[in-house]
Amino acid sequence: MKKELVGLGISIFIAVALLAPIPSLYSPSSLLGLSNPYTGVWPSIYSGSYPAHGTIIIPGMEHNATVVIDSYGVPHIFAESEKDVSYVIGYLHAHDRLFQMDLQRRLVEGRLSEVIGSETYEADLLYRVLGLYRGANITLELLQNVAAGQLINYYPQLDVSLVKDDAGKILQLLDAYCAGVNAGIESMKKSGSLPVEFKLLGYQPEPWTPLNVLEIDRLISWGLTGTFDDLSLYLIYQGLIGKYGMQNGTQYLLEYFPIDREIDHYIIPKGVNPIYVVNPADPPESSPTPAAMNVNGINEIIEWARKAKPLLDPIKQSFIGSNNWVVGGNLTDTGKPIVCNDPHLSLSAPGVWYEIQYVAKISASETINVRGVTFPGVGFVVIGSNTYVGWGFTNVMADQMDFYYYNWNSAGQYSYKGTWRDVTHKPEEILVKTDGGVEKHSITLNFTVHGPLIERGGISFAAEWMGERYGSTEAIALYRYAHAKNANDFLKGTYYFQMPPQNHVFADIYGNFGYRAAGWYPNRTYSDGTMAISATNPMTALINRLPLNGSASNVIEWNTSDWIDPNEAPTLWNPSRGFVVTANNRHASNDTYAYCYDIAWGYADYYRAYRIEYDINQTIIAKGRVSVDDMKNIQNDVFLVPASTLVPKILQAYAGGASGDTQTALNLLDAWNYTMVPDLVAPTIFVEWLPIFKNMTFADEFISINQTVLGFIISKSDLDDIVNSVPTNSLEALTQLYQNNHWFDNVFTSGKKENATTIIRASLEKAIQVLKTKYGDDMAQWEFGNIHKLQLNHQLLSWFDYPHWSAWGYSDCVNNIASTGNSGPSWREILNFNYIGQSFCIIPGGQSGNPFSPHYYDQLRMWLDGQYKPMSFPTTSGAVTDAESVLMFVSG
Amino acid sequence: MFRGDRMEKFTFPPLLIITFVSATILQLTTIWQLTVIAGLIAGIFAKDFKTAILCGAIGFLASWLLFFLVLFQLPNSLAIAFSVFSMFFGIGLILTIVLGMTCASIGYFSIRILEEKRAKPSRTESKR
Repeated sequence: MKKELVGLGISIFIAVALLAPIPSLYSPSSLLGLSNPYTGVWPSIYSGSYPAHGTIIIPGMEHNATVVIDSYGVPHIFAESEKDVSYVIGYLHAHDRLFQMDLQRRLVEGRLSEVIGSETYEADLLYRVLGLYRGANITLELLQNVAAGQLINYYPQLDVSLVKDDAGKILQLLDAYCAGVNAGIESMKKSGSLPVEFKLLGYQPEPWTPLNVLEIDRLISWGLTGTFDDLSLYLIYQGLIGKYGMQNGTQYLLEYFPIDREIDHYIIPKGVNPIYVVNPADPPESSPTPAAMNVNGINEIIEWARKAKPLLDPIKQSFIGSNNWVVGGNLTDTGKPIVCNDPHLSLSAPGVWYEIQYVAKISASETINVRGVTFPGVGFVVIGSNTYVGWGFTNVMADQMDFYYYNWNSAGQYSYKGTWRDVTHKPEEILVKTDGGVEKHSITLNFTVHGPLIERGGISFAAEWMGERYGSTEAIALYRYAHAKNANDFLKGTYYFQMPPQNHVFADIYGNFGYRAAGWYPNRTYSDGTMAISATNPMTALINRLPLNGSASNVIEWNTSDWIDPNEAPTLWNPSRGFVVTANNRHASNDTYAYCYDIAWGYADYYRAYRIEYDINQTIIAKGRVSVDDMKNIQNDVFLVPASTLVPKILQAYAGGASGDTQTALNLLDAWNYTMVPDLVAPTIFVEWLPIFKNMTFADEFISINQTVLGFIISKSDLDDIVNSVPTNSLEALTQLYQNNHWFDNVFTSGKKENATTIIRASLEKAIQVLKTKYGDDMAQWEFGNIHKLQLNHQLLSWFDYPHWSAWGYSDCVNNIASTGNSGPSWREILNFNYIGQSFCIIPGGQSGNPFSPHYYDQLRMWLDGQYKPMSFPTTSGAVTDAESVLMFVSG
Repeated sequence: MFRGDRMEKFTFPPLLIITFVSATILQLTTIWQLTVIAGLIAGIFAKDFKTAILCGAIGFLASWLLFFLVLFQLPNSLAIAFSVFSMFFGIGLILTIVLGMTCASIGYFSIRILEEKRAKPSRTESKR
């Protein structure tokens, strides 16, 4: 009996140890649960593929819909109504991308710590302050008010009567989409096949709501317009003024960050390329004089944002760009336009886009046939085409965010327009997952009249971001794009595209084509009503690029009764040049466009836009007209323009010859055709040299400023960030035009004056040493393919990263696969308006977010190799020629 | 089941089948913790301790492997899954065997204690 009791005791003890629900991935109960073949990770793996034939029930659908999944996992939806299309897209998004959607929703809501733990607490805190979710809520209210016919007081220019019906339909589509997502979630819960990430993290997704859709929309907007650059530029400006005085400091700032660049390339060309020299000797009255502020506190705020950056920037992890262009029928081989687009976003596993095609009845006699890419979590085609009109986007780099600082009194009130105001408080709680369960952290969000206060290190700024303060109507624009029957319809629809402002290029089957930098831009005015920024006064361009004084007697604020709306944005209609190219470059010069300083914070270097135009012009010279195949070649062009302008300067610096490895490197550079291909060594030398050249040119001044003026020691990574943010064409302009500019002089070498040539030589020799240390003495081992590899990684688990293959292209190439390997063309489309069904597209990865699906990264190799898949527009399910699965969606 | 005042006991082959079938059915409920019951059954009806823990271990193992065999028939990349989750698979398999043995032990010792308790009063009665 005693023996049995002891045996029973030991057995119960072991059983309790095995079954105790300890909230850790590596506890026995978690491991037993995860490895269980029926309820563990395995059913999630199995669910990666759709069955060859199947029926899926979604309660609420109006009619049955047929979905054909093609050989790339792209769904082709054939439905009786747009509402049914939304149901189906919701279900498919949930099936293929649910974890990605849920992670992004938690990111926006500041609720990551709830499922991940304390490591994401700071990011959650920042997101709560920034309030993307508050902006989503305001947008939902806006759509409801517009649908009810109510005027929107902060958008008096918006004629509600024109879009009342659209807003009502969009609200219905949002509801249908969410019902589809939730049907997908329920089905996966029932079958135990929720994505494996949920099981590893030990939580289940909550239902999807229309607010969540708009939250994802806000996340995209934040990625493309949210920035703390006003604060970074303030630190640099403050330092330069402190070191060199107001006049020289301002001049140096404008050389480091030129508002008007001496070497540039405009989207809207001028007859003569203008060169504008800023004269800092004559600063106008309205030029901003930065007040002395707590620079350590500002640095802490920037650090806070920097640390949260990998999570903050699912769209834009570094300064990246996009390309789009449209060539009119006069210059194409078919006589009809061709639209091309490759938006360069953060590349991840899975990717940001989910491709769909749908055919839906919109009346008894009419259907729409739309194909393009959606964001998982949002049920609208964002970039793509219908069978009449197609379009593509690049980021305007719009300035829709300002920071305000104030005078404070001892009672904690801030001064605004001559009175002391109380800060508004909003208590919230952040839940943080711990080993023992969940901890509650109480926080208080503070607001001024301009927005939420970002507070760190004894300083605070109110962040006024359009996406937090105001609702927006881009859902109406996307709805109208899908319905557009010609380019004119499309152009009308762009009026409702408020944020994030995008350079739209578009064309239709009738041969019309054009361009618009669609978006609504803040019109900054003084409280006496005068405009703060003027194209005729370039110094005023600094106003919206630096923090604003919220306590000034004549405070500069956004005039919400008079936005710079799309009708005042740069626009071209059938331009006589025959094509339009945009690559995040500057829209127009200050003598041709009145709002040239208002609409964008900064611009990309001109290299990609210049190269695309060059390629188009060269093709026309050689062949007379361009074809779809030419467009493919241009999208995959890996010629590096800055190399073509700077390498001759390197060779010139060694006109007298060199010896040893330096001469070998020079020989390689001399023989180089400036293409960034994996089997060459010269690209490696150049990309190692360029940042060192920037560093040797600019870093000494910034180190000196930080030591003597700002008073804190700048870290190497901060310094690298500052130096790398210098536009390459600023450096190119200095090198080409001002060999003896003061930036080339090393401030730490007294009695010696360096110039461009000495810095070029020193930086090349240092680059060779660095390369030897990194890759060995044998230069043959320095092939570009060994250093430039794809880094398309899973948000949480490195197990699920895409392969790290050697990549072609580089930052500033048209094929802009960034130096970090984790950003680049997130979607390539070539729309052929001779016959839209013979268009082409590709994404870097695959349709499915399930790492075990055959469509997890089945397009990646093709994308890397510059290949495309057909972008057809079948009108019936039987017309899909490469069906992998046929699903019937029916109402429950 | 009961013959007189003692429960009917099974030898290894039939008990293994009972354990395997019950573990498989209980897994289908999607609450994997219910498989504990299959282990208890193995212990309760085992002829001896060795039979109990062998039936628990092998019954559980076989039930889990059956599901993997089903999964292997499906057209997807289970090979990759196994390479990624080999740790879960290996540790899970060992823990499953341990769970089967432990539950069978609990069943076996519990029933022995009950049986002994039932047996004791009858001896007292006989002394009277």
